[in-house]
Amino acid sequence: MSQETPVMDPEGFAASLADARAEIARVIVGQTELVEKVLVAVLCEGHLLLEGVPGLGKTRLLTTLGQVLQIGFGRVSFTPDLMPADILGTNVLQTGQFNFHPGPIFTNLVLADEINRATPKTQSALLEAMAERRVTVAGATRPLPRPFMVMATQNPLEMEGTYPLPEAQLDRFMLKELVPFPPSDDLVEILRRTTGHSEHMPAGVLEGAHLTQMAAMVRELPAALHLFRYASTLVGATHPDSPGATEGIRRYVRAGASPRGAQALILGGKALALMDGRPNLSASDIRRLAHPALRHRLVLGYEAVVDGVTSDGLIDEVLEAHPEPVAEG
Amino acid sequence: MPPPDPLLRLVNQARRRLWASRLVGEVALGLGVGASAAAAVWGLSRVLVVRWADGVALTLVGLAVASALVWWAVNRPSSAQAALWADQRLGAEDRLATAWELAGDSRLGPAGVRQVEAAGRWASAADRRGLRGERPSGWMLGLVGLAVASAGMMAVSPSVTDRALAETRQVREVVDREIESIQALSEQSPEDLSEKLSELADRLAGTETLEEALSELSVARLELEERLGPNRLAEKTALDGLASRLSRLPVGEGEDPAARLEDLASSLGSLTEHQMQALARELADRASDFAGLNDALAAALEEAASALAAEGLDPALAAGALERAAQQVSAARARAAEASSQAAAAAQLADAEERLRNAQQGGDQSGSGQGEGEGQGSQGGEGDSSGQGPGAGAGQGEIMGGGGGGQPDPSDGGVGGGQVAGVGDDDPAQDPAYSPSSIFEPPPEGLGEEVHVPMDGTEAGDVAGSGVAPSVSNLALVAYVDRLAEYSSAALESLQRRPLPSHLTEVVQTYFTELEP
Repeated sequence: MSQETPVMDPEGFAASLADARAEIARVIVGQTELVEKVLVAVLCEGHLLLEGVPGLGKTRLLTTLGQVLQIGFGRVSFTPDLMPADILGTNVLQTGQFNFHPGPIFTNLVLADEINRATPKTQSALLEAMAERRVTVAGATRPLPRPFMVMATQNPLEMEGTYPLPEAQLDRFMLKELVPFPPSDDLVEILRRTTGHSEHMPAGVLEGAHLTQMAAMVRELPAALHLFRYASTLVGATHPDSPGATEGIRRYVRAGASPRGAQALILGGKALALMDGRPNLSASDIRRLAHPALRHRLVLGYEAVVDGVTSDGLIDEVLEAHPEPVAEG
Repeated sequence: MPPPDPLLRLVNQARRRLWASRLVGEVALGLGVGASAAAAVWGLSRVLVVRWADGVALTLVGLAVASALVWWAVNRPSSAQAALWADQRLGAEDRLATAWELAGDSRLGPAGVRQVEAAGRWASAADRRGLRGERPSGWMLGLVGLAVASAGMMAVSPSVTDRALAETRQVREVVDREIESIQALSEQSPEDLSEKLSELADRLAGTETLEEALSELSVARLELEERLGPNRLAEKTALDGLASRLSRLPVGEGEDPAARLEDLASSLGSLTEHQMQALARELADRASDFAGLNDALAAALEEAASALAAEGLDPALAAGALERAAQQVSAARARAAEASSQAAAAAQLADAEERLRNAQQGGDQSGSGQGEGEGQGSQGGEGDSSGQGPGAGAGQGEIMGGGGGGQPDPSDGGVGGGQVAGVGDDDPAQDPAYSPSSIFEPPPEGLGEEVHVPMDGTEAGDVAGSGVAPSVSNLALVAYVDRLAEYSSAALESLQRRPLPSHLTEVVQTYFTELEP
C-alpha cells in the first residue's frame, strides 16, 4: 500500500475493462464468463489454462486478447516433437560468436496451443518461466518481459499421444477455465460472422502501461480479514483430512488445493471487484472464482473416476458447506 | 484514520439492531431448550412418580431463559460484526466491514483511504430500512412453539405423579389436622406432657408419608401408655370409686373425697354412732381398693376406719387419721389427674392413628369391619365374673364391640375396666347384606342359667388366682363409673331405636343395672 498511487479509480477501471470486453465481444460471440476469467488472469498477471474441444474459439480468443490489449503475443503449437529450445530460444554461432536467439516465450502473452501434446520435458521448460518469469539457457538467465502470461489450451478428448500436465505444472496456472459449447443463438451469430467475406479485426483498447497500472491497482485493492479467512476456509475444505472437508472431499479427493489456490481466489476476486467497479473485495467475488481457481488443483482418486464425480461437483459441495461469512442476527 | 461519521453512525445503528434482534432469538432458543427439558421431565413424571417434576421442570425453563438472557447480555456484537451484518442486510458486498477494518489500520495506504471514504459516502446514501431487526427463522419458532406446547400439555394433563401428589396433599391435610388437635391438646396439658406433645407435633410436621406419621403416633402413644402404667390407672379408678362411695354417704360435704374427709374430720362430733360405723366400713372397703396401688393411702384409710370403728372413739385420733387420709387422697388425686391427662392424650393419639389409617385406606373400608381386641383375664373361672380388658374394634354399623367390665373381688385386686373404640360410618340398613333376620335373637327361654363363681377359692378348680393380680396391662383410661354411665345411656338409647325382642331389652337393662356400683 505504500507504492505509487494509481491514478485510476474503480469506476475508471471498470469502464476501461468494459471497453476491452466490448471489443473482444465483437470477435468472440458469447462466452462472457470465459472472457471475464481471461481478463481476470490478465489483470492478475496469472497463467490460464483453457480446456475445451477443438473449434470453440480458444485460440481465437487469446489472439484477440493480445490485439485488444496491445501487448506482445506469441503462439506456440505444442507437438510431440517440440523441444524446449524451440520455446525458450537457443545460442546460435554467428560470425564467430554465439548469439542468443530468444524463443517465442519472450513476449507478454504466450499462447501454448494444445500444451498436453508436448513431451513432459518440453512442458517442464515452461515451469521456470511460469513460476519465476525468467528463463535460463546455456547457463545464462534472462528475465522475461512484463507482463508475462501463459495462456494454454488443451483438448480433453484426444488423449492418445498426449502427456497430461503434472500437478506441479497445473498448480502454476492461476485459473483453469472450461470452454463450453456455445448455445444455439451464439452459434448462429458465430456462423453469421465467420462465413462471410470479411471478419472484424479487433482494435487495441488498452496499452501495456495501462495494463500494468491496472494490475497494480488490483493488488492494492483492500480486502477485509474475514475474507482472507473465508478463502483459507474454502481451500482448507478441499483437503480430505481437514475438519471442514465434506463427505465428497473425504471420499474422492487425494490431495486438496495448494496455497496458490487461495492466492488465486483473493487476487482474482480483487480483479473481479474492480471489474464491477467496486472498491473492495467481497465474499461473492471469492465464490465466483472458486471453480476456475480450484478445479485443476484437486487431485481426484480413482473412486471419483468410477463414480463420475468431477472437481466442479466437489467444489459445489464445498461452497454449499461453507457459505459466505455472516453475522447472525 | 477514523471512520467517516456516516459509516460510524450506520455501524452503531446496525450494532444496536443486531443486538436487539439477537435478544428475541436467544430468548426463543432458551425457552425452547428449557421447554424441551421440562417436557422431558414432565413426560417422565407421567410414567413414574417424580415428586420433584414440577419444581425441576419450571426451574429448567427459568434457568434456560435466564442463561439465554445472560448470554445475550454478555455477547454484545462487536462493531466489526455489526458492519458485516449491515453489509448483508443492505447488500453492501462487504464494503462496510472492509472499511471498518481499514479505518483501524494506522498504515492505511491511498487505496485504503479511498475505500473508506467511498464506504462513508455509500453509508450516507444507504437506505437503512434494511437494518430492521430480523425475527428468528420460522423453523426455529416452530420448534420452540412445539416444545412449549409439549411442555404445556405434559404439565396440565394428569399423570401418576399428579395423583401421587394429590394423595400426598390429602394425607398432609389429614396429618395437619391431627397436628392441630395435638397442639390444642398440648396447650391444655401439664407442662411435661405438653412438651412431649409439642415434640410429637414437630415430628409429625416433618413426616412425608402417612406411614411415617403413623409410626410417630404409634411410638408416642406407646410411650404415653408405658408411662401411665397399670397401677396408676388402677389407682385412679380406685380414687373415682372412693369419690363415688363417699358422695353417696349422708355425711360430709365437699367437692372431692379429700374435702369430704377433711369435713368429716372436723365434724366427727355431729355423726351418729351408726353413721360412724357405716363410714368406718366404707373406708375399710375403700382401703382394700388401694392395697398394692397406694399403700400409704390404703394405710391411712385403714387407720381412719380403725379409729372410727374402735370402741371408745377418740375423736382427736379419728380426726387426725381422717385428715391424714385426706392428705393422701389429695396427693393421689393430683397424680391421678396427671395420669388422666396422659390417658386422655394416649386415647386421642389412638384416635388419630385410627383416622390416619382410615385416610390411608382412602375411605374404602366403609362397610367392612376391622377390629382388634385384647383381653386378659385375671381369673381362670368360668362365667362372667372375671373377664376384663380393653377392646378396640372398628365395627360395622353401630357400635357392636364392647369390652368386658369385670367386678373384681377385692381379695384378688383385679381391676375391671373396658374400652370400646368403635368406628363405623354407615348404617346397617344401608348395607345390602343387612336383613332383620340377621339380628341375633336369643332363645325364648333366656340366656341360660347364670353361674356365679365365688371368688374366694372355696370351690376347687374355679379360682386360679388369688391376691394382687399383676397381670393388668391395659387398664381403663376413663373412670369406670363415667364410662358405665355413658355405655348405659348409649345402650338405652339404642334400645329405643331398634326393634328388639322385649326379653332382650330387659336383659340389657338388667345388665347395666347390675353393673352399677
